[in-house]
Parts: sequence; structure tokens; C-alpha cells
Amino acid sequence: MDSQSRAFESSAEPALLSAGTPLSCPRTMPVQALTPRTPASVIGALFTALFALPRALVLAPAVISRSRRA
Amino acid sequence: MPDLDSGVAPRRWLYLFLVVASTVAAVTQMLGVLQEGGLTLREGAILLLFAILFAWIASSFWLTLFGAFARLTKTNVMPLKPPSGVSAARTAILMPIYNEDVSRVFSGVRAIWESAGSDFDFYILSDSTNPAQWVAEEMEWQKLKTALDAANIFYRHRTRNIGRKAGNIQDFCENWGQLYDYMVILDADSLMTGKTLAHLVGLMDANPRAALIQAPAQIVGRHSLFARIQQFSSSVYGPIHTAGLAWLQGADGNYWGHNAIIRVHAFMQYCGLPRLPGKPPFGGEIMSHDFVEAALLRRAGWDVWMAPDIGGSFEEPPPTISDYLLRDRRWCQGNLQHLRIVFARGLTLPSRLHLAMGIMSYVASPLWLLLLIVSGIEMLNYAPAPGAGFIGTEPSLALAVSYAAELGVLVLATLVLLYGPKILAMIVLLEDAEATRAHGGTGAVIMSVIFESLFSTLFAPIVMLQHSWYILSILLGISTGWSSQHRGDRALPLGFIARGFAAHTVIGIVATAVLWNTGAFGWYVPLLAGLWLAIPLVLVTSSPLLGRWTRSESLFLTPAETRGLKVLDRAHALAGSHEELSADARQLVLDDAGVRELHLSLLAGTPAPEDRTRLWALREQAARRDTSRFSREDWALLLSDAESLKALGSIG
Repeated sequence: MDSQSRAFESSAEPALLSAGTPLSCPRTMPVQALTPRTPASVIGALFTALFALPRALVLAPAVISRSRRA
Repeated sequence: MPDLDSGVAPRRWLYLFLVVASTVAAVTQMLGVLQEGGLTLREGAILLLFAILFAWIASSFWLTLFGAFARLTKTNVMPLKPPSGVSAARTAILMPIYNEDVSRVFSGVRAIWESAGSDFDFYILSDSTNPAQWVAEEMEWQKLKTALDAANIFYRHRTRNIGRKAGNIQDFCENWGQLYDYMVILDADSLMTGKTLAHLVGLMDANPRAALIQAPAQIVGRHSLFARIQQFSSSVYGPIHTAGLAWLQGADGNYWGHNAIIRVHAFMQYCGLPRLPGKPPFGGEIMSHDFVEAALLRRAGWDVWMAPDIGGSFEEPPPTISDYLLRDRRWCQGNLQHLRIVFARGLTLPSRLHLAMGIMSYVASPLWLLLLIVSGIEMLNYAPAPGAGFIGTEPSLALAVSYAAELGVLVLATLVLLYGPKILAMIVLLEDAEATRAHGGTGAVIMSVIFESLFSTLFAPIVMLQHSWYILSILLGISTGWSSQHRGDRALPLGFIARGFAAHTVIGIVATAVLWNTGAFGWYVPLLAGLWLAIPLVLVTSSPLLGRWTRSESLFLTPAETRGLKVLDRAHALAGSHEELSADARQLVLDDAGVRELHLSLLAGTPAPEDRTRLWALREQAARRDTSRFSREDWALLLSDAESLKALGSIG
């Protein structure tokens, strides 16, 4: 939205005032997903974190040094 | 773009360490007491409940300690870039209302409008289901627009309240959201100064990653004793709490539903709330939408901040304990519903913590009650194990092992955690001579903190029982409706209070009878006292007269009272001079051409009701001016149909 372009607009069109609101400018809000994690996915995520952290700490430097040698 | 608050991670680790370390220390101490002769199942339960509750109060204590430190060292807890220059952004100020006191709503809007000038567009978004209030709102809106000659105050009424308050805001966004860069959400009792509103807009302009900035509302403006105690607590204890929170959460902030500015396009893109599967209380529309919206914005990568030092943001407290607990019933259900959301995919860990802490603020009560019950049973069955005393190698008289010292340390630690934040807040306040004077001076502040602590000690067990009942009723599937809040001062009648709080008193008396002969009765007295005194406590604290008397005695004074608050005083003056309608507002739509014309112009574009048969019958009766037996629903139906009203107008 370009707010600068509307800096000089009046806040509402006088002819529409009796309607209570400005003219509608419809656009729907997409509904967001709030899918709960299943117990299995929570355990899976925990395991992933459990393995991902040591791998990131221990293995990542080795991977980097190998790629450098190559 | 660089991270605005890179130092937040070490602070969080330190905070976590302090909470865990203090809990581990307390649990170890408790374990030493309980494990004498082996840990029974009951003792295990006591230990578990103790650990959870201790961690809960420790988390609050350390939070306020962080806040006190930040205040005393004058640390900037909100590292946002400051506003620069005049904003060209368009901002809408939204006040969603639902069967609220019309004079209060429009006085508040007018006071804010006068403070903010014409830089903002105001939207009164009505979901009122009471037809008389609906028409009265329309008339007040027209009166206000005429009085201010303001083209930027709008009014919209929804005949179907889809999605409650969140749905009301969504309806605004879907119809007019694209016209605005930002929106400021207010509650029906919110007040904000023009300076604060302009500052919030400037902060949003200067920080394009920020989707939401919460301006913590200071509670002000009521006169009952209960309200004045809350206002004092908010004014004295609030600053270190919000400073601690802001300092620890950084850009992972939360949204408290009102007195916040929101970037409209971020909100529209990421805050469309789904209906939760299943029936209420756990399924259906999301009741406490604010925490969820903040979590969704964070999930999408937007920043959510709190601005604890911004000032100029106010709301009014519930006037009585009864009103406070009634509001809590709705909040309790809303927060428990978050059990369905806390594990939703993709949310950030701090967002999950916000949701979990909201849940815990209610679940703590039944856990505490359970701890008291289990420890009470333990006391009833307690037989001191004889200790082995020796004089040299000869066994001496058997003596009971005493754990008074260990228990004393635990009680002392608990007291520090519960009352320490109050003392810390008082110290921070007393460091500031100007602020101390605004609260009535050093003596007044100290006396007020002592009396407030006494009150909160008596009040806590009442809240515990009430919250426990709420949770039980919610688990039994009893859903709360959507009732409007009572916001005005009123002394509650004794009969009403007795009906509401007799159960608390009876439970207190029964618990006293059961525990009387145990050696631990003395430990329970501070808790039982709140229950014994529940009825007189509610009665006394609901009194506006006592509220005014304590004010004359310099107790619970706040800067809003000692120095005045322009926007609040103006709103009160306007509400005080408000003229009530002498006629039935609904009937005026039929009898007064001007009111009917206004109502019809505001109905324009609203779909006609579907129940045409009933509508015809109502129309016939209204044509004969036979409306005395009309129900609320009948009036709502008739007033929603432009065609019928036009026809009735032409007859009249």
C-alpha cells in the first residue's frame, strides 16, 4: 500500500457520510491453518532436534573442511 | 535488516537458569522433608504439584526482578528506531462494542478525538444485539459527528455477530482495511492520548518489520475500593512487570487485544482465524483471539513489540470482585481453548510460551487447590516418626524429627517470591521523587502497599476457588456465552454477594473444621481467612464510598487521581453531562422521521432478514402501534428490515 500517494486525500468522501462508513473496498482475509501437531510429530520433532544439534556442532565443521579440500 | 535486539538471547538464558535453579533448590529442600521414611505416592504428588507451582511463581518473581533492574539502570527495554518526521500513513482507530453503555462509549471516542485531532479515522464497530442500544448508538453517533463537525467518525452495525470481537475486526479489515496502513484497536473502556497515538504511528513508520506494538494500558478512572486497589497495583507494580516482559520478549511480544497498533496488511494476510473443530468450550470460534493473532504474526516472520514506557494508554478496571471474576470466566475459557493451539505447527517457541503461560494463569488455581487438599490429607494422616537419639552409644528417649527449619526456609522463599515483586516495585517507585509525590508521598505508598498486600492475600484463595470451578465447568462442557461487561461503579447488594460467595465461605468453614486438630492448622489460616471473609470482602471492596474515603486518607493514590488526566477527565465530564434518551429508542424509529431516516441510511447495504412471514406479522402489529409485546428478537428483526420500516414510515 502506498501511503504517500494518499497523504493529500480527504479522510472520507462527503457524499457517503450518511452511510456511516466509507465505500467498502472488499478483500477477504485468508484463513490460517492452526493444525495441531500430533503426538507422533512432536516426538519426531524432538528426535530431529536431538540429532540435528550434535550434527550441527560436530559434523558441520568436518563437512565444511572436506568441501574446502575438494 | 539488522536484528534490533541481539542481546535478548543471553537475557532469556539467564532468566531460564534463575527460574530452574530456584525451583530445583526449593524442590530439593522439599524432597528432604518428604523423603523421611521413603516417598509415598501422596508425597510424590505433593512434590510434583509443589515443583510446578513454585516454578510458576518463580517465573513471575524473576521477571519482575529483571524489570526492576531495567528500571533502576534506566535500560531501554524497547530498542525500536524512534519516529522521524511527520507520518503520511493513514490510521484507523477501531472501537468494537457489544451492548455497551452508550454514553461511556461515545464520551470516550470524543475525548480521544479531541486529543488526537483529525489525523485519524474513527470506526465504532457495533455488534450490539440489544435493539434499543443499537438505535441509541446511531443517534449518539449522529450527535457526535454534528457536535464535532467531524467527517472522520464512522459507525457500522452488524446484525450477525459472526466471530464475536475477532470477527468484528475481521469484518472491518475485509471491507475497509485496504484504505489504511495501520489500525489501533481499542476496547469499549479504552482511552489513548493523541500524543501516544501519533508516537505509535511514528514507531510503525520507522520500523517496517513491526506488525504490532502493544501499548500496555494503565488502569484508571473508577472509584470503588476494589477498583482503586487495582489502579494502585497497576500504577506501582505494573511498570516493573511490563519492563521485565518487554526486555525478555524483545520482538517476540504478545497482543493483549486492545490498546495496540497493528499493520493492517500484515494482519489481513496472516490473522484470518479458523474455527476450531468440535463444539465449544474447546472447539468453535477462537475466543481469546489476541494471543493467537500475535503468534500468527510471529509465525509469518513479523515483529511484535511491547512499548512499556509509551504512556498515554488507559483502560478502566472492573468495579467489583464479582465483575472481575465474571470477566475471568470468559478469559479462562478462552485461554483453556489455547490448549488446542499451543502445539499448532510452525509457531515460534516464545509464542507457545505466551499461550502456555496464559493457560497456566488459570490452571495454577486447581493445581494449588489440589496441593492444599493433598497436603491437608497428609497432615491428617501424619504421625511423626520417632528419631533415633543417642547419648554416646546408648539410645536415649525417642524424639520426633522436626523439619521446622526446612519448612521455614521454604515458606520464607515462597513469601519472597510472592511479596518480593511488590517490595521491588515500591523501591523502584520510591527512587523517583516525582513519581512518589504523584502517589501521595513515601508514607502513603508504603501504607498502600501494606494494605494492598493484605487484600491480595485474602483475595487469592477466592480467586483460586473460582478459577478451579471455572475450569471444572469448562471440562464438563459448560460454555460461557458472550455477555457485555458491567463497567460502572456500583455498591453490590448483600443478597447478591451472599448468593455468589456463600460456597466460598462454606468451603472455608468445612476446611477449618477438618484441619482444626492437625498441627498444621496455623499454616492454613492465611488461606482460610480469605474464604471466611469472602462475603464481607466483596461487600466492602465494591463500595465507591469506601473507595472515596481511602482516597481522602491518601491510600491507593495514583497520578491520575493526584494530578488529573486530561483525556480521562474529559471523558468523565462528557459522560456526566450526557442526556439519557427520554423515549424508547426502538419506538423512535417508528415514530420519528429523523431517527428513521438515520437508521435507514445506516441500514443501507445490509441484507434483508430471511424470515419474511414473521416480519409481516410484526409489521402488521407495528402498523397498529401494538409493539408492547415485542420481544428483543422481534425488535431486532423489524429494525433490520429497511423495506418494512419504509412502509411503516409512509403509513405514519
